[in-house]
Amino acid sequence: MDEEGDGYRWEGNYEKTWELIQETDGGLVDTTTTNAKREKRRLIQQRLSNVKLGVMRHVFLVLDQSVNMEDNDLKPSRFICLKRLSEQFILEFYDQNPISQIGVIVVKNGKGQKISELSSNINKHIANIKAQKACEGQFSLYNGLEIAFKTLSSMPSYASREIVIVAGSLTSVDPHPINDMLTQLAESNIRVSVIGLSAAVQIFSRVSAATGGTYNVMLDEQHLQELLRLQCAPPAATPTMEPSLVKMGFPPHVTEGPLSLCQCHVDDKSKAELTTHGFTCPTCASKYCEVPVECKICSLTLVCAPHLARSYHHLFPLAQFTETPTEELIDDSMVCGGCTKTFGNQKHVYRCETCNSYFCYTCDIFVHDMLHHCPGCESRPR
Amino acid sequence: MLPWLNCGENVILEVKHTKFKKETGTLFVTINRIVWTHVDHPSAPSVQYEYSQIKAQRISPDSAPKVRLQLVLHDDTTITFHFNNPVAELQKAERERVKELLVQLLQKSKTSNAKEEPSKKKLSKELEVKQKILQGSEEMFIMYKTLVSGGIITAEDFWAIPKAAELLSAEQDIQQPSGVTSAFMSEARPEVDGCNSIQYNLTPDIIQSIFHTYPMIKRRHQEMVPDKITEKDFWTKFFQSQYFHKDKKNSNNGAKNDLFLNLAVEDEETYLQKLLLCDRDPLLDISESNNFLNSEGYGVMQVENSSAGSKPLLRKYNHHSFMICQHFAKTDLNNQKSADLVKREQLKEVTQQPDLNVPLEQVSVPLKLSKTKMSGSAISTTQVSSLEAKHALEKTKAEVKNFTLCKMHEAISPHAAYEAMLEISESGPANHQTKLPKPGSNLMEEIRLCYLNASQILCHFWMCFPVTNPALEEKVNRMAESILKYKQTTLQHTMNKLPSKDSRFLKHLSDQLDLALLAHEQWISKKGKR
Repeated sequence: MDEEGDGYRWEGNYEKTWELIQETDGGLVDTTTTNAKREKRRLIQQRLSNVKLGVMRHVFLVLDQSVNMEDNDLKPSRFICLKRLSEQFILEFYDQNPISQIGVIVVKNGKGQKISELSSNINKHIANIKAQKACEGQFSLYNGLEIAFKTLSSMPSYASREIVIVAGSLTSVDPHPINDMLTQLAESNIRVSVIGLSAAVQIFSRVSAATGGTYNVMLDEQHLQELLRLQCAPPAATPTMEPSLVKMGFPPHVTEGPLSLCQCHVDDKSKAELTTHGFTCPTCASKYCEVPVECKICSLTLVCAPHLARSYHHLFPLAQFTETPTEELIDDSMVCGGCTKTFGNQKHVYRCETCNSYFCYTCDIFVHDMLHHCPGCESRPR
Repeated sequence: MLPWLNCGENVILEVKHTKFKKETGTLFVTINRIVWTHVDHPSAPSVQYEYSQIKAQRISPDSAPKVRLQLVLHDDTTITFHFNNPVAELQKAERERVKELLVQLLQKSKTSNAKEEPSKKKLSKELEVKQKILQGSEEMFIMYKTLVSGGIITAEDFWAIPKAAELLSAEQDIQQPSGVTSAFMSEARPEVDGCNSIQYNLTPDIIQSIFHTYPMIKRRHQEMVPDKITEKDFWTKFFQSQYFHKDKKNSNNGAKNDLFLNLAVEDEETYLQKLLLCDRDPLLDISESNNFLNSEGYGVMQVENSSAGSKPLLRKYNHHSFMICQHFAKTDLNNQKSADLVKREQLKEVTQQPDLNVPLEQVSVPLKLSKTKMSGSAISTTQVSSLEAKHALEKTKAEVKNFTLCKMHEAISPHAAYEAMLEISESGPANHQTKLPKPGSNLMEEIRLCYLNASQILCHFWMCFPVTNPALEEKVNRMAESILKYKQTTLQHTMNKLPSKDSRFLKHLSDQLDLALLAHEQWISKKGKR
């Protein structure tokens, strides 16, 4: 119908992402406006330094699969969008926390259901999430938490125990008083963070406040992605987490080892193959194709050294660069310390405090997100 | 005192002049059973039945010449008693008394039985579940056969291995109770089905919700179904009465509404009782505040509470929440906070805005690292004198000047370079693999099964370490034995089946088993030293 302007009604279901792109005077795509919001949000995020972090994490992702998730304010529907973002979240999570484990729970029909056990098997998680289809019933906070609680309470105390709930519903139908569950969670040091999709709900904010987690409500899809990304960073360790020695194995990757069958594919008729390459567990000599993994036979965590080293950038985060207007630069021919291009018509440049080199907007994001080291500081002898 | 009475058992009712199989005797109703003794042998009960054996009772119609009471057992045998009091009017009265007593006692025994049975049921259910798993998965069945039937590990250990335990717990998953939504009645919404007939959707979930909200109905259901009326009839009558309940019309179908009319009265009573019990929370009490309107001038005008129509609805909702809270609340005496504390918390919540408060400092543990150099930069931090630096620079300049591309001499041969590349890259091993002969698919399957079985035993074995208590010690020894047995029997058996050149396929597995046995020996020798 032409009443709504010049579009058809079915067009309303689709997001016109091409309209968000704007061009600069020179005909190039202007990235600053689209990313301006993102940058602001990132600056808000306070990075704690010199604080003990819970690097080994056991996280349960609880997804709401009630009828409220069929709403299409996130295209094409909330649940499908959430499935997609959860996959990205899982990939990024394992990238940032290689020695941690994730499990996935969905809540539908007022009952919780564990669809993926706590493990470090990325593909299994993604496959299980993709397999979920219909949204039905009501959301139950108590039942969702109860399933996660049952598993997390038996986990060792040196690892942090977390639950991340993504809830699109505004109500919760519980069979028992929720305060009982709250006391149990607080006693077991389980940290519950909630990401809401509709509006702020008091019970969710109470649950997250009582357990030391965060509560956020999303504005749009990009914001939801940001909120999920925030959960990837390891949280500060609570005083109750006792430090303890964790036994780990560091198997080298051998290419010409003894002919053997790997434990990761022993269940699968089609994929089982005798090979010579892989990682051999130092205790029980069973073979695995990939690390990090927990040995099925002797429950030893097998990792390689770079996985542990990846946690350093969480413990020693790079300080934020100060934002200075481009006009204050000494001379116009100055180039960015990262990409060696002139700053052109950018409004702000970013200066590293230690080495006084300037970076453009894109390099600033890149240095803080990916490199975790300032190129200027690294290339100067101290 | 009657000789056949057990200690602690009392006769509740005694009826003389009852006939059983044309013999006269006395009928006794005690707390546990119903007994009939022959008039000539009062010491030995001829007929006795415990209430748990009785399924139902029946009475002869009023129009029948003889006044009879019939007991129906679970196996459908019937026992009939004839009330033959010489005074004709008393016959019926006596029978009624017995009937009433039996109703109560049968009811009691049913509920107490329901609590005892679960434990017996659980055991048989477990066996059922185990059967199902074995039948369902061929792999598990084969594993079970080779390991348990072959005497390598006990059945108990078999079900403790992670894979089997996972399957077991998945099947036995206790269904989580779901909460009661406030809209459950609307889900049973009637649909007008063509002409004059209304259909109600009633799922087990809705039935559960109804039982939770109205425990009286649950009780009625237990009493009536399936003895007196069928499930369908029960629910039809329920809906009919609920429907009219709203309008509070005293319908003329007296007999039908008999079931539920007194429930309405009881509901009222509980509601009023609750009102008396609960103290009104002044913060949540909105009934009195809205009655005042600012009228002209400075006075206040009390407005008529025109929401009389909504009162029954509000009452219904309150009753609904009250019943659900009562039903689901777990009373934990330790956590009962005193009324004072509760009030204080409530006041705090209302008077303070958390957003306006100064944010609390996050309690975080400071990081204490002894070696911070590890996170440093890659460039060495040793000081270089300017002379050395100059010298190095000159040397590098000279080398660069003298550099020529040597086309004649190769650093290494291309073939060697290619091999080296293959070695380092991931796809390299795959190329190497093709040189070695691989086992066929049947053989591969057998090998895989061997690995599977062995891994279960090995898992059990390694689970015992570190050995902390005697139980684990005993388990370790047992598992070591199983490993040895497995190696000697099954593995050997499989290896004998293979041609000699293919026996290397199982070498890794036997190495694994050897490693476990070695660890066991080491542990024994360590234990011996202590």
